[in-house]
Parts: sequence; C-alpha cells; structure tokens
Amino acid sequence: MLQTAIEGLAYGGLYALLGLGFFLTYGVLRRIDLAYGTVIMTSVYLGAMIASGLGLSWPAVFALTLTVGIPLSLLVAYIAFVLVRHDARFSMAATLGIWMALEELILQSPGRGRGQSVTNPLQDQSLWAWGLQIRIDHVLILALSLVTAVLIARFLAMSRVGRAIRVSAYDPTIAALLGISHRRMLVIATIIASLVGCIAGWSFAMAQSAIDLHFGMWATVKGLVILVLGGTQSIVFIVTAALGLGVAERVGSEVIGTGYRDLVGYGLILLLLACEPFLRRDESQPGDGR
Amino acid sequence: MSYWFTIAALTGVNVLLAYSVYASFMSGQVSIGQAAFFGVGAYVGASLTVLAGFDLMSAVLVAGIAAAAASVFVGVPTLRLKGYHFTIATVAFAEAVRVILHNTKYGRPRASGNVGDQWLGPDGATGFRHIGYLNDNGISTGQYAVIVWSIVLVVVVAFFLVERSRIARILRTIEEDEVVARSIGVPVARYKVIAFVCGGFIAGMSGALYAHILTFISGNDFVIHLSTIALAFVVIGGGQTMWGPLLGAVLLTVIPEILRPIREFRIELFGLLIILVMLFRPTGMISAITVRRWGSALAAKARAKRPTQAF
Repeated sequence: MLQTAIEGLAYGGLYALLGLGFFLTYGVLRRIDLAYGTVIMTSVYLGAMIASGLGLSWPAVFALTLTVGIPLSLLVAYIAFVLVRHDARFSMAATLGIWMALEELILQSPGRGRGQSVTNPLQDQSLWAWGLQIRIDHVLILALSLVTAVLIARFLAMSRVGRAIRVSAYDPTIAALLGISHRRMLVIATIIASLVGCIAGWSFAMAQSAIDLHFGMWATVKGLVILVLGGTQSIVFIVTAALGLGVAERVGSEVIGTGYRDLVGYGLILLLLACEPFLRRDESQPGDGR
Repeated sequence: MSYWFTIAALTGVNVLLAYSVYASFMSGQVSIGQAAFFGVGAYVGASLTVLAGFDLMSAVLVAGIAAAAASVFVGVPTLRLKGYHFTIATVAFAEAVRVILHNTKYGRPRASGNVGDQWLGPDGATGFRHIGYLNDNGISTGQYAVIVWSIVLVVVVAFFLVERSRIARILRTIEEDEVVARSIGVPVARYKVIAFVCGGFIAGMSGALYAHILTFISGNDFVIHLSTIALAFVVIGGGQTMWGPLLGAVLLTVIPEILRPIREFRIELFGLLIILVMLFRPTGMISAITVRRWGSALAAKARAKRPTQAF
C-alpha cells in the first residue's frame, strides 16, 4: 500500500505540472486551452521521433521538445486567444479544433501515433528505503515538479513580471490602466505554461520509456481535473490537489482494480462539484464573467 | 444501395447527437460529455433488445430516459456553477462513463458461438457484440433509415416549435447574460438543467439507434472525441438557430462519404473548419440573422404572389 502511495506521489508530481499549466492559462486569460495536452504530446512525440531518427540521446529529446513546443503553444494561443477573442466559448471551441486536428495529424504521421520510445537512463534503478522500493526516476520527477512549482510561485509572487501577470489575471481592465500589456502577459504566461507542460510530458515519457498518442488527452483531462480540485486561487492548492489525486488514484486502483483507476479522479471531481455550492467560498473575482 | 441507407441512418444518428449538444448550447452551456449519454443509451438500448426482448421503439425510449436520468445526475449539481466548471464536469463524467462501460460485464452465455465468442451482452473490454435485432426481425437498412429519420423529424419539429416559444427566448437570455435573466425572475438553474436533460434524452435515443446499426459496441466507441465531434457539428453548423446543428451534422457526415479522398483526413478537416469558423464566422454557417433574412425573403415572395389589397 505504502509502495503504491509513493508511486502515486510521482504521478502527483506530473499532475501538479499539468495543473500549473492550466492554472497559468486559465488564471491569466480566463480561457481554457483544451489543446494543451495535445500540444505537449505533439512536441514530445516529434522530439522523440526526430531524436531517434538522428540517433540523439535523451537530453536532446528535451531540447527538441522545447523547440517544437514553445512556438506551437504560442501559435495556438495566438489563434485561439488573440484572433478569436469575443467569447470564451469560441476560444474553447477553437482550441478544441486545434486538438482534434493535431491529434489526427500525429495519428497519420509516419509514426502512426504508436509509441515512440524514449531511452530512460535511470531504467530499473531504485533505492531501497525502509523495505520499500523507490524508483529513482520517480523521485526525480517529484523533485522536479516541486522545484518547478516553487519557482513559479516565487516568480509570480516576487518578480515584476509575475506581479503584472497577477494583476492581469485579477482584472484585465485594471491591468490595462496600469499600462500592462495584456498581449505581453499572454505571451509570457503561454511560454511558461508550455515550458512546464514540456517538462511534464518529457518526464512522463522518460518514466514510461515511451510516448504515444493517448498522452495528449490524458494530460488535458488530468490538468482540468487538477484545476477544478485545486481551484484557481493558489499554487499550493494546485500542488496539494495534484499530489493527493496521484496518491488517491494509485491507492484507489489497488482497492477497486486497475481498470477503474481513472474513475477515482473523475469521481472526486464530480463529488467536489456536487458539494461546491454547499462549501462555497466566496471566490467571485472581477473579470470572472465570460 | 444498402450502404447509402446505412450512411443515411448514421447521418440521422449524428443529427440527433448534434441536437443533444444544441439543447444546452441554447442556454450558453458547452457540454463535451454527450458521448457519455450516447454510450449509456447505446448500452441500455442494446441490452433491452438483446437480453430483455424489448422491441426497438420502446428500447430506444427507455435508453433515452436512462440517459436523461444520467444527465440529471451530472446537471443538477454542476449547472449551478458558473464558468468552466460545467464543461469540465461533463468531460470528467464522459470519461468516467467510458471507464465503467469498458469494465462492465453482464448478460448470459450464447448457445451457438465460436470459442471465445460465447457471451451475449457487454463483456468488459471485448465490448458488446451480436446486437442482432435488425437482422432477427428482418428490418432492412432502408427501413431502419426511415425509422431513424422519423425520430429525427420528431426532434426537429420539437425544436422548431421550441425555437418559436417563450422557452427559447428565456434560454437565449440566459446565454446572453445570466444576471439579467435572474433579475427578471427566470429560475436560471432550472432552465439550464431542463435543457441539458432534454439533450441527454436525445443523446440516449441516438446512442440506442447507433448500437443497432453497428451491431457491435464497446466502451472505447464513446471516447471524448465523439463528444467533440458532436460539438463540432453545432459550432460549424451554427449554434444560434435550430437549423445549424441539422446542417452541420448532415454536411459533415455526408461530405466525407462522397469525397472519398478526404475521408481519411476528415478529423483534421473538422478541426480546421472549427478554427476557420471561429475566426471568420463565429456564429457558424447559419446564424440567426441568416434565418431571419431568408424568412423575410420567403414572406416577401409569398406576399408578392398574393394580389395586393387596397384599403
């Protein structure tokens, strides 16, 4: 049981990264980027494909992922959030279109959407502590995601740009009055979100030694789940929710069978949403409307 | 010919699916979870004809009711929330249903059958095979297409009537501004739930009809992509008037069948179309204004035919 819980923490770390990506785009733009997971998947997939074609090793995969991922995310943000701007629903529909098109393109690419292998230098290396087997790469993923979360939190809290992003998220009109360019904040938030996503996708691919088509939707759905569970208020909540979900899923699947693993998260989210009117914190923010 | 009848029946199923999205779309709620109700309907409908010996029509109705019940379960708690919560809840629900359908097994052994194929009813990941109602009762694909389209006709007429009623105006007010709707005394949550449950009912019927065409369904048929395609029908066709979903679903189902070469790339095409529509014509192909203009053009033509009366 403890063993699975620890494995769950590593997944929780991944969820935290994905949740942070959504936190940034939703937080700043009040728009939901449904193409987020697919864009990450595409970048890691292409990264892995190019790297294996050129015979490059795993650090190159990450570099390639970023080279594909960041421009692609900016393009998506430009199309869906800058060009389509009148209504959040339209933006969401546009990202949906991008999601469908990208995923299908990958399915029809030379790789056919099948798993692209990514070498994992830490394959099968584990630590033994208190009679528990802990995979080193899992520990690294957890550490990486916690560090990323702390860095982002510090960045948002301390730096000038981070504060500008927060003002922009709080109320775009005030931000504009203060001379903060919403467009610029969008670009910065998108880049960070994409960076975080690429880290998540890449480390997931490393841990699994492969990446395939399903990662895209998985990442989007998990990210959204975390966004709902953790709320849009604080990074601490996001990370806690993510770690909690990771552990709950693994432990839950131990109890009710692996076939139903994903049910834990979906069950939690539905339960939480059902209870939300009763434990309603006053979350209303200016600029929260559509 | 029977191939085209199958396409016709599938088009009808897609039209119903598009209307199920449209029902809650009218009140401004975007559901990406219609696949769940579609799947529930498919499983319930198929189980009823295969295992319980129901006839098709009552199975379809019961499937619709089951799906509507499922949508009450999702809609009541989540439609009270504002913003994106409802959409995410539908996504979560759709995935939850898919996982459950993927893991359900009930039914009874089949008397005749090859080894490894001796189960009647849903069999976990293998899916639900031998939904042989049409074959057993000698219903041809042509007849089936007529059955499907008569249900579609009923739904279209219902939407036509609703569109001209006070209900539609209330739903549109909610879409436009919930605060305004509430301030003029509209029970917003109730209307949203009713619209969503009607959508669930239609999706359930459509799922049951779909199961009988395919004769084989599995949990993985009801992935989220199905919901997104259903939403694409509405978004591309037009979400402002009831003609939009009809046009969207028919065009997007039939065109890839006629133009074979693009069929392989139809999902990319859908995606691209959604983006283009959102960029250049966010109202979809048919907007409310188009309908009004055509309506008045028709009326003008009718008036021109009539001799003018002198007062």
